[in-house]
Amino acid sequence: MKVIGLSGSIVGTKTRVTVEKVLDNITDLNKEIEVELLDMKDYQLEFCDGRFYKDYTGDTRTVIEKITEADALIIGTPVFQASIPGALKNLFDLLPVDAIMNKTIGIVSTAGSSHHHLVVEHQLKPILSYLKGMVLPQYVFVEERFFNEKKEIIDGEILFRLRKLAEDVIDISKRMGKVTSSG
Amino acid sequence: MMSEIVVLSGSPSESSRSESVLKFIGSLLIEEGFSVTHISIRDLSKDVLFNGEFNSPTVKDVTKLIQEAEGVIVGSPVYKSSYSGMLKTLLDILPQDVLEDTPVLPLMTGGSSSHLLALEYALKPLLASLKGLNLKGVYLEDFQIDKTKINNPIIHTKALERLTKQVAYFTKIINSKQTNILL
Repeated sequence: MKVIGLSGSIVGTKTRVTVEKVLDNITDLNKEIEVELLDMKDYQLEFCDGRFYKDYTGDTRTVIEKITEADALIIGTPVFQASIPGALKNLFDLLPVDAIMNKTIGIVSTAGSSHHHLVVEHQLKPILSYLKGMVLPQYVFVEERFFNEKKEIIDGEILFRLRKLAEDVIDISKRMGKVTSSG
Repeated sequence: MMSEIVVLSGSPSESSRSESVLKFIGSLLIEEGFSVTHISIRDLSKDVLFNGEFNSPTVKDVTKLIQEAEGVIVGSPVYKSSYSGMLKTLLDILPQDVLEDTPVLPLMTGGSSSHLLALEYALKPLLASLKGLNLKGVYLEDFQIDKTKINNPIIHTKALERLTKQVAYFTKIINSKQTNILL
């Protein structure tokens, strides 16, 4: 089984740090699960213009294939203008309609204030539902104040919930038949 | 140069139904004596958008045009049950009050009537977050549009009625605002 951690931000580090935390927990819980961080900052994607996905090349094609081939996803999003970043939305636009179908999806979100807690509920989840992902109902919303100056998460409750998210992604993937019983 | 009305097309596609409708609306407004500037997301630098270069001259020009406009029309095709990611990359880097005090007419086109609510749940909240004053807006289905008919691409009578009615509301608000200023 392979889990991709998608950090959907092209600026800052908090979203990446949070996604990485979940991936570390997954590895810690089950060494047989392969994890990979896909940081959007590291890829120069094209804009989706309605082309067939196999007609894209380079980074764009690579990212589409990594997501399509993953068994489960951790999606991390910051909040831009009370919604998800355009760069992340563009990546969803690029995906074939069944790219994440039936894949377990855990969500983490970072933001500067508590006012943005519902952005995931209202802006991200509907898109993932349209793409037929098996989205875990509970997501972890991490406010800026839960990070220290070195951009490490310092809040015990948040760390606990990120651990729980990792457990849930493994557990639900198992039930979906994506983890072997020995794993 | 200042324009009374700015039309922002969020379609990344070269031959776009939503853009053909937006251009048609622009021509209606010009007939009524308004000055109109049409901004197509496709004409902006892809690097500026993807890398979020909010200080670039392009973004500053677009910001100024929108801030000085009496009314703004924002259109997008439905991509993955929401606005296009490319449009969002521009809106991400505009000031968060860029549409303050501005009547906004949202418009979306989609492959089926099933996506009608993308207007309500995705585009309008985003425009409201930018402090725009949303009108009801228009949702058109692809079959109602023939993008090759440049003079009037809307081939569906009822759809055309809905659209012209919304445009009339839009101009009425702008005209009454201008009258109030004169008084």
